[in-house]
Formats: sequence, structure tokens, C-alpha cells
Amino acid sequence: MTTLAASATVVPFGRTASVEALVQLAGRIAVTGDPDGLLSQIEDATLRAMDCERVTIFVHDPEAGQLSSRQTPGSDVIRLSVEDGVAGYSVRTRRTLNVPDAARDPRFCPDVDRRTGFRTRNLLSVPLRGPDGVVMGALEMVNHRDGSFSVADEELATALSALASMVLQGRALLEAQARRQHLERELDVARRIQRSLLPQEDPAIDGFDVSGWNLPAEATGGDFYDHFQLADGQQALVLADVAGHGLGSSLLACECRALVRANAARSSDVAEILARTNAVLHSDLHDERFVTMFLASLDPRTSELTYVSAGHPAFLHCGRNDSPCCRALDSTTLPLGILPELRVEPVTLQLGPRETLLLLTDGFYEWMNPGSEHFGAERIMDVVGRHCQEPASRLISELWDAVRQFADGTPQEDDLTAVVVKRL
Amino acid sequence: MLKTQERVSGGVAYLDVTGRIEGEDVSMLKAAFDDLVQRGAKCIALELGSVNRVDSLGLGTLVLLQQAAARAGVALCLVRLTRHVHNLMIVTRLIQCFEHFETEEEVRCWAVRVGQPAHVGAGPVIRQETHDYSCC
Repeated sequence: MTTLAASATVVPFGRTASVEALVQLAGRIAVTGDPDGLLSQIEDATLRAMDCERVTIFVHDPEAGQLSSRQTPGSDVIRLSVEDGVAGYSVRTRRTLNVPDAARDPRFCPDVDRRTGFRTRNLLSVPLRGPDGVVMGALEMVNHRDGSFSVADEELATALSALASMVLQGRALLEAQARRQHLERELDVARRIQRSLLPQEDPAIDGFDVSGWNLPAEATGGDFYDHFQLADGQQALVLADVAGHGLGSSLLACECRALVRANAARSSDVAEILARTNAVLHSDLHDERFVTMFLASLDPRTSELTYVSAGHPAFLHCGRNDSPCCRALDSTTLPLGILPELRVEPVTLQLGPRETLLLLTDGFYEWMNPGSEHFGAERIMDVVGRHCQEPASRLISELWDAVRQFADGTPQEDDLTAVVVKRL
Repeated sequence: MLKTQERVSGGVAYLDVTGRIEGEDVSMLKAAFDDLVQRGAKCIALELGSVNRVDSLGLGTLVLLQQAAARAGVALCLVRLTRHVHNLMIVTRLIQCFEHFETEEEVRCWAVRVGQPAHVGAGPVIRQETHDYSCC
């Protein structure tokens, strides 16, 4: 006997042979890289085993409330509301539905027949269940050659549906893996762009040794540092920390860097640069994020450092390890993005020989050890006191080593950024 | 893990917060605060004596709540900041955004001073000056 499946002629080869073919397909599930091809073969083998005219695997999209047949060469995708039709009934009720006379069953939806010209006489629909009980779709068999599907057909169809379910699960895993790989590639692009926005080398400033370093907690981070020459010839130094970390904070960090540079092109006054940057950030930030920033201009000729600090303290070390002395440079105004306008008063100080300005983000201060102690300012000052004679880059390395040793294996939860400015 | 518990004392709605105000947990604090405001609380105190860690998003959330309170005409204060949280607020200067007290008696006096809970007051606004709110 000859049957039709999606306009292709197939020759049945008996239920036993067909089931054997299905068992062979089952063996390929674990190793297939082509689940759609395997689903087509399952449909084809089911067609033979069930001795019917048409087999369709419908996939359930819970968000859209829709069932869709798979896209296959030479056939259009059938889309049904999950509220309609026999397949929809199977998915909604999680039950097998055997309809011996479609024309007399109110659950049968004749719309597809009207569109395609196909005539459905009888059909059998079995839900496709995932391991967690979620119904992923339905296996629908149409027009049994003997006039209707038997109880034995229902049992066989249930076994076949398990096979199709496994392949659908595998396909879902492959799709999830592909999405994850795509996101990882995108994240890597973001990471490389953000890294490229950090200074590629330390600045060469007569009479000073300046170094900067950054290590985000995730692929991207909310900290950044920057240095560039202002129009009046002074050197601008920036260190900022956007609340939080990860991709959202990194986008804001990029915006901050651009704003500071753009505003610095209009003025060399650090207070003005900071106030203008704040005004834009305030209009852009609408959640719990804010930005702390230390912004300074360094005049190498006079060794004067003029700074403003938006919620970001710094430390000044005298540079003598025989009688350590260190003082905090307090914040001069609120963090950026909280108030529409900031009153900013710059502070100017004279950097003496061997004095070291230390700018760190809170990732250093707040990294906790297994005993839930913070690394804290005192330990930082201790490291600086012991290594203040070292080059700036070396001092940062010592700080990184010390905080990592203190952490004793606890994971880095926040971004780390350091800038050290030493007068030689 | 952040937890909140409500209680009312001296006409002030207290949110007793325990754990860490950080990461995605901040949404729980926002939800608890919003719930209080929606139910008509006009004077809210965040009791932070059992908060052992606040990260930058947590600080930002406290600022956000303060701004939301001011918009809604609700008076908000912080009570019993731990040393660590207090220091964080000092170094970031965020302390000046908040009314903050050590005892519930101070909170009660503050509530009377701002005219709550009898009627809706203007609520505190964020200022750049630091104020000394000595009680009574």
C-alpha cells in the first residue's frame, strides 16, 4: 500500500521494521549535532510505523501561546494557537487525544485543512513532555490508513513521543549553548572595547612617576582611570567608580570617560569639568547608580596638584618609610549623578619630594577574607609605608599581592583600580 | 541575604533591615519601602543596626529611597548605622543626604519635628550642607 506524506511517496515496510528504525534513531540522539534532521527522520519513521498519511511535530512557544510545525523543505510552517485544535488540546491538558472522526469532534480545528486543501479524517495527538514535566509540544499523526488509530497505536505513539521529546530537549540545549556563545562573544567585544579605552601606557611626566592599573571583577567593569593633557598644559588624572559592576556599570563608565574628556576640551578647570559631567549624568541616571570620581590636574612645573573629589577619597603619603605619615584627602562633594547641580570647590596642594598620591577604588578596601574582615585602609597604608620607595607600578603590584593574600581565596567581588602618583 | 521586617513605634513605620544591602538584593529593600509608602506610611525609619555590609549599589539604593520619599512627601531617616556603613557614608559624603539617628527616641522627636505622622509633610530633601539634628 502506498501513502502520502507531505506530497512525498513512501513505501511502508511494516511496523517491526519501522520500530527498529526508530530504535536506531534513538541511538543517534546523544551524538547528533543536527536535531532538526533527526526530527525529520523521526517524523518519517513514525509515518511508516503508524501507517498514516501525515506526521507533524509541533513545538510549543509558551510566551506566544502558539504551536508551530518545524520549517522543512517544501512545506510551510503551520502555526496554531495553543487554545485551538487537537494538538493544542494535548498540550493544554497534557493528555493523548485520539479522534476517530475529525469532522464530528468540536476540538478539531478545520482552518489548516481549509488553507492547505488537505482533508483530515482521523488523528492522534500525543503531548511531548520534558524531564521537568513541561510540555514542549505535541506529536500529531493524521489519517490512519485503517480508518482510525487503535489503543496499540496510542501506546506506540507515546513511545515515539518520548523519542521526539529527547531530541527537542537536545535541540533546546544546543540553542541555549549557541545563545550563550553569542553573548560571550558580545561580552568579549565589550571587554576589549573597554580595555582599549584605558590608558595603554603610563604617562611620562617630568619629575613624576605615575602608574595606573585596573582589574574588573567580571568581563567588564564600572571602574576606570584616565590621564591626558589639558589645554593649559597640565596633566589631567581621573579615577572613577560607577556603582555596581558588570556590563551596565561599564557602559556608564564609558559615558563618564567620554564626558570628562569632552568637558576637559572646553575647560581646564577641574571643578567645572566635574560639575558639567555631573549635570549630564544626573539627567541620564534614573536608578540606584551613581559615580564617585577623583579628578585632578597636575602641574609638573610647580608640582601643584589641584583636585576635586566626588565621594572618592584619596591618600597622600609622605614617602618616608622610617616615619610613616599619611593623610586622607577627603571628598569635596557628593558623588556624581545624585543632584542636578554640584557645588564644587577645588583643593590645591603642593606635592613634596617623594610624596605619593594614592587613588584606589573600593574593591581594594572592601575585599573580605574568609573571616569577613575588610582589607581596609590601615592595611593599605601599611603596604604603602613598606613600599613607598618603590616605583609606582611596583607599589601597585605590592598592593595587589597583599590584598590577594589577605583574601585567602575569597572571590573578587568588585572591580579594582589603582593610580599612584609619585613625585621623584 | 537581606531581610526586612515592619513594625510601628511612636507613630513611625520602621523597616528593620538585616543582612547585606548589596547586589540584586537591593530590589527587596525597594519593594518593602514602596509597599510601606503605598499603604500610606508618612514617616519611615530604616533600622540598619543589623546591616553588616552595604555595597555601592546599596548606597545608591538608599539615596534612591530618599529621593522617592521626598517626591512622595514621606519623611525618611536612617537609624543605628553600623560603624562600617557610617564610615562609607562619611567618605562618600552621602551622609549629608540623610537624616540619621542613634536611638528611637531621637527618631520620635524627629517625627514630631517634621510634623509626621499627623499629616503629610514635605519630607526631607537632599542638601549639600551637613546638619546637626540634636534631639529635642
